[in-house]
Amino acid sequence: MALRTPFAQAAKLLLGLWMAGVVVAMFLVVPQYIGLGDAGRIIIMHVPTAWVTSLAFAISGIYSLLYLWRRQPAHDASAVAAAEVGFIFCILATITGAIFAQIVWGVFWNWDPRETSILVLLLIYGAYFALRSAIDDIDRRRRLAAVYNVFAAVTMPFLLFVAPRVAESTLHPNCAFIQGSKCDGITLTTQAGGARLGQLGNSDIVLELKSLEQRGDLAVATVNVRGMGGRSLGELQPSFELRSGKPADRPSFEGQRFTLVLENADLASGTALLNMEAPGTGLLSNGRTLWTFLASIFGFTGLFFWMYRLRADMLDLADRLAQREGSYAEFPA
Amino acid sequence: MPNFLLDPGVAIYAALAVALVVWLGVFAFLWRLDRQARELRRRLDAPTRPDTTAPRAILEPRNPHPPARVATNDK
Repeated sequence: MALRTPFAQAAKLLLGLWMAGVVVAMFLVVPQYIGLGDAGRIIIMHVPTAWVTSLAFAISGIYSLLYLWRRQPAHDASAVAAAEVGFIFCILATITGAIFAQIVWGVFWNWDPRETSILVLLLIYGAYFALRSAIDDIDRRRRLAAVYNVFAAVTMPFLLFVAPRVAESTLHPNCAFIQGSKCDGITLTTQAGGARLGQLGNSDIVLELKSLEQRGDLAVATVNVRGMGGRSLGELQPSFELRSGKPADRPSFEGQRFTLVLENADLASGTALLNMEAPGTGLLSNGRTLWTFLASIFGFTGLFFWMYRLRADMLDLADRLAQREGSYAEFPA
Repeated sequence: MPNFLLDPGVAIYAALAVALVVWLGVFAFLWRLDRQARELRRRLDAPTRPDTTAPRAILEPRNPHPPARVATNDK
């Protein structure tokens, strides 16, 4: 213990400096993102807080399981501490996400699947704390809360990772951060008998591929865009670099900040893979942003463990003091 | 003053300063809480000393005769 304490203190000081460095890097090192300006910097805070949320709720669920198995009050204290800290980070993720939404989508809250699922998660854990405060008997409170918390932790991966990806209408830029996210787009072809017309997810946007031609090193698609009720939204020409195999020009949809991307093109068969891209997608392709982002993830994870252990310690101390109630005369001077 | 802070060349530094102050505040709060919890744990873990824990008092009789001072405790 004597050796552990100075090491722990040094680690906490280092964490303080590390996070201060992350804050400085967020403003001075991370470059502006095209179409987002300075608003793209919020990603350095938003995603790590969401990551810590999932970590915290998972740890909380594991400790609740441990409590049900071994019935040790320390496990219950750890479960509560992790859930409380996770709840704080979940609120932070929601607030930073809402700020991002205001800048990108024009509203703080538009019931996007991602926003709805995180709100449901907040309600589930809010109910967990309400349940704890509603039961007076300590053993019963711990037992019932642990059972509830195990179920709550099971819902967390679905609400944070699965539900927003199952819903194709989400505007959240998933593809930027998690490989394999469901942002498949639609494949259209200029050949007779193939699909020339298709709806982009369930976004009310219908694309019609009019032509796909080669211009130098680029494959250029000419796409007619229609909105609700077949209203024409003009013609866009996204392009694709044939050599590097990467999208080139990303024209914006009329009156919106979303872009149309030609993700793949096969000139021989006249086939084009088209997708809608929300601002923020591809933020991490910049090296400076990526390293600041990773440093932030690391720092927030350390901050979470500090906060959660501290809160668990305080709950344990409160428990010990309550047990000594009535014998405070023996408290050492 | 507000216009000066919203100037594009200055705003980023103003936002950085605010974010740093918020972080330093959170860090100082956590550090203080951590120190207090550690101190409380140390005191709870310390062995009790029964010989020094009993409340003590000194009774002085109003009658100055005899002027003796009697040390006692509540047990």
